[in-house]
Amino acid sequence: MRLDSFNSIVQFRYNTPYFSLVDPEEPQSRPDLLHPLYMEYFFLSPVGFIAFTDQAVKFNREPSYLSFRFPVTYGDFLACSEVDRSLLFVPKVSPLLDYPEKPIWKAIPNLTFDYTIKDIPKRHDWPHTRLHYCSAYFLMHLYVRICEIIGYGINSSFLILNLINSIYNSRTYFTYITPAQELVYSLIVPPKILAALFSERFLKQHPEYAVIVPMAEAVLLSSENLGLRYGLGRIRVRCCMDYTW
Amino acid sequence: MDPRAKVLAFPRKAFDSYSSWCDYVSAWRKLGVYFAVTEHAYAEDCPDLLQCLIFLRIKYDNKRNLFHVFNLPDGRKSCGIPLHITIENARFPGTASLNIYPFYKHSEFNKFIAVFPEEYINSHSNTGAKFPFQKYEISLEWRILFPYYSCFWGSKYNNHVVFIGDVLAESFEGDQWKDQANYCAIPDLLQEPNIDALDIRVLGRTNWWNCLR
Repeated sequence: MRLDSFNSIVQFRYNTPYFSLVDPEEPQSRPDLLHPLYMEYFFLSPVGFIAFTDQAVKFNREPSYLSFRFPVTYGDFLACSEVDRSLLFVPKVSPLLDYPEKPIWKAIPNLTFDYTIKDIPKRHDWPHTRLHYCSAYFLMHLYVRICEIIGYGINSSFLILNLINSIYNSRTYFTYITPAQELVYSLIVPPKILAALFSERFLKQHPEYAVIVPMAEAVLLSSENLGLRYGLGRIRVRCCMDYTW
Repeated sequence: MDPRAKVLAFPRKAFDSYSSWCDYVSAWRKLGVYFAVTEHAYAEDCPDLLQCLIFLRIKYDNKRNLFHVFNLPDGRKSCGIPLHITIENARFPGTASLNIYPFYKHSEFNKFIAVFPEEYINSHSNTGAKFPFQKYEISLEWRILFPYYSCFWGSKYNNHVVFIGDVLAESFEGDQWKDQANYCAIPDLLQEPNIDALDIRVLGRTNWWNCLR
């Protein structure tokens, strides 16, 4: 596969009733039937959502971020299921700032792809498992990036031992299609995972990095944020809110 | 919808979380009052009240995710009939009438009497068949669980809480319900240019990953 193909955004083609993974090296007719893939994240605490400030993430796009959304490149899509090399390896420096111009997979050492895009539909990790891995992969890099900027100690053992299972068991992930026909896999990081990533005390003591958005305010903001609008309905509040600060 | 229709509406705060829902229900039960109905005309202009809306879809069978398409008189396409929940006798078009008040901490129901909205009564299927009912007793494939809604909706205040309810086509008599040409998969419908705004919002929250191959 050519290098520029690895760096292009993953696309799916809809042929009733299936979405098929597009090979980026094959010419595509009807681009209107192509759907790019995105990963999205919200962070939920027992008292509301957590918005990270630009001081904590330095994406230089907004003053604060209630959600994060990343397009997925083919390189990262392949890399995320090389679990031992991409998910069991916690980087010291996150390459997320220049994403997707500089994809994350390029920063992973010793990464070789044993198969191509064409082989993905035959693999055992397709499709749900791969999307979970992909979600964990971007979350890990986002977390590492925030830790790196604010000088917070990375909880490597949690990332390596528990992150994938915690996401899977949280059941706070969901999917949706935007009016622009993008396929979005969204994860509401539940309070239990958030607490494993950042301590409650740290989040409360550093409003310059993290701001609490009460649920009532999130409901109002949901009219402008499609993922939040669906996410509020998805939260299995019963299990999410078992964890209290 | 007829402004005199009384619809079920809860304070917005009741849907903040499961515990908020329990607190709200407990408070009402202590008072011995169970009713939370209000006139639709009032609720529609009230941002602090959330009206409960069922998005009723007619599913081809329980194996395939194909839903009946309604071609509305103004040219829009829709596969979900919006029905405001009420606990009054079914009188007004666009309401789903429950014969009990099922709103407790663990609240669920799957049966109601639907009085269909005028525009759906005047709609036609893809094969040209007219919608044959004005009123029908619906028995859903899966129960609707409170407070687990699908999304918020509202043209002005985002003040409806939407619950998706599916009914199997075999519940109805008549050939139009058996003809697969009258049904459509959700991603196909989302690509239609003239799809109803509520459909875009509700159907967008689809489990597309079940269609990956």
